[in-house]
Amino acid sequence: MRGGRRSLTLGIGLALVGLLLAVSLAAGLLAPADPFRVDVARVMSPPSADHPFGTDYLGRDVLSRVLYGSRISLTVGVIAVLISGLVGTAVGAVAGYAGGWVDEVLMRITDIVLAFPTALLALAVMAIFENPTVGKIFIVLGLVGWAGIARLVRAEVMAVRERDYVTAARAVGVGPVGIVVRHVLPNTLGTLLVALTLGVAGNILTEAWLSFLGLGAQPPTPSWGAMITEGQFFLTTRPWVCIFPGAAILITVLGFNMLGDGLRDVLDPRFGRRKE
Amino acid sequence: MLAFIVRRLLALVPVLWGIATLVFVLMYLVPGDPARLMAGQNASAETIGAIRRQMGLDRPVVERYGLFLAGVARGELGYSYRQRRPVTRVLAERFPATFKLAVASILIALLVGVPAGVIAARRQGGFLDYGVMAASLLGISTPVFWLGLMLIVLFSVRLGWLPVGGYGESGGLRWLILPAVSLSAISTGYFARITRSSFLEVLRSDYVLAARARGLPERWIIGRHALRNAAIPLVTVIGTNLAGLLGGAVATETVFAWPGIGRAIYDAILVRDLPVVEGGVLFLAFIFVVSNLAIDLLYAWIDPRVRLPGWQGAGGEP
Repeated sequence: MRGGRRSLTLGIGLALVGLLLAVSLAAGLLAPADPFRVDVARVMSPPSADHPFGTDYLGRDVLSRVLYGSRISLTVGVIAVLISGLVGTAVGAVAGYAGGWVDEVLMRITDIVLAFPTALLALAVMAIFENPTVGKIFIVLGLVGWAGIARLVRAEVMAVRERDYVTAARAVGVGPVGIVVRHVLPNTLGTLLVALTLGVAGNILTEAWLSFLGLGAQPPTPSWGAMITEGQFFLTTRPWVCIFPGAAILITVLGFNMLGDGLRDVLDPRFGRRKE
Repeated sequence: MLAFIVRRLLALVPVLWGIATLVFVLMYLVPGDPARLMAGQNASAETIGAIRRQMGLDRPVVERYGLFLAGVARGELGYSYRQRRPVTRVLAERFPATFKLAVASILIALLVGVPAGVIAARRQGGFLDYGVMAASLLGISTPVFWLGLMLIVLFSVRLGWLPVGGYGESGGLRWLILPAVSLSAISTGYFARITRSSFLEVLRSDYVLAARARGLPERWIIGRHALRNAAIPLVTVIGTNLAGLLGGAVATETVFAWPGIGRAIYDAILVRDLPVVEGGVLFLAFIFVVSNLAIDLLYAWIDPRVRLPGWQGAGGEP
């Protein structure tokens, strides 16, 4: 029964994420129209056979914009997480490996960053740009989200640092980078993968939120968050302009959350036991 | 306990200093002359010069940084370019609305999330368990601002039960319901998940087994033993959730025209009134850090093990 539920979560998560990946790659083939094409004759038309999700205030096809929007969300989510992963791994590995005052200083900084509410931090940084863009969002999100990863990697480095096979590797002349890459990271991979997958979900939500507040993708970029901003002014009479991009965000974030949960159940026995 | 409180208070200093420094650096990096922004389009060079001197912009960076930190320590967060009054006054005016919204959301999340988690744990593997887990996954995956808009479409536009937005005269409850419910979605999901997993753990513990063996009634076991111990991880999750809640409040207050700090930040973003944006974020970060300290102290009071220096937390979901 439990095993069944686990693989079910993982299965649905994988299916949703796979579907999204396929949609974003094939957006050009799937989209019935050009997501940027303005059509003043068909402004705000309700969902129909021609426009399954209706059109927006410029007569653009909402379905096409939602499909293309998946590219922005996935790119932001994944690239930001890769940046956090790299920075966090580097900081955690150095701290755990060096120990002493280096560890002390790095972990103090990590604690300070962890104590920040990260989304608000990202907002504070994005607000200073006169032209906020999606590119700036993933750099900013990447740079505010590394602290949790650093903690994780450091703990793992400290756990394996004194093991015999690491001592042996050091004895035959493997340097610190080699030891981290060959012996530490493989051990952390499961935990790291879970953290990064859940990180993608968080980043996608934060990007949508920032873009909704006008601090991300600018018109006419088809970002889901920005589409909701444009649609909210016509919400009471033409709700479809808001409904579909929001549903897309929900499904995407759900997919990554389920994938992360499923991976955790399978890969991380500590959490697996806790959750049973 | 006293040593613990002192230690935690001291740990607060570098965090607050870090937040303030970051805000200073950001404000310093902003392109454009704050004095010109403050003075407006048609100001003369003399006026701008006078404002520069008054704001201390003609002084060296290090001195400005010192003045800024001293100001923050006194509770001064600079002047709004648009409203031409201290940022602190703007925020103080807006704080009650945000506080009310945040408290209402946490209450809803606790009242819905905790019982849902208990039910799921007691029916582990059953239909109700799946339902609660699926609903909480949906909750934590929802963009709260979008949920707010959907609730408006349903309850305000279609059904006409509740107002579309605003604070209402003297802040009536009818205006609070939709923003509070939409803002509570993510926390409700997390509370249900954490309650379920810690409850399952407690139900398998020796003291619950012992209580069962002694033939104590199930109601007694749940109420006296299980719920109390399961509450411990829940307390920390309330703290970490506050970050999402305060961030979400910026968007939720925007959607519902709720006159809180979040709405003030959004309005300031639109007109690039940066002191209000940065001061508002600093203030929300401050609320987050201080509430987490309060929660840690509460936690230490409930569970004495926490007061030991090496304690890393009872675990639970991040």
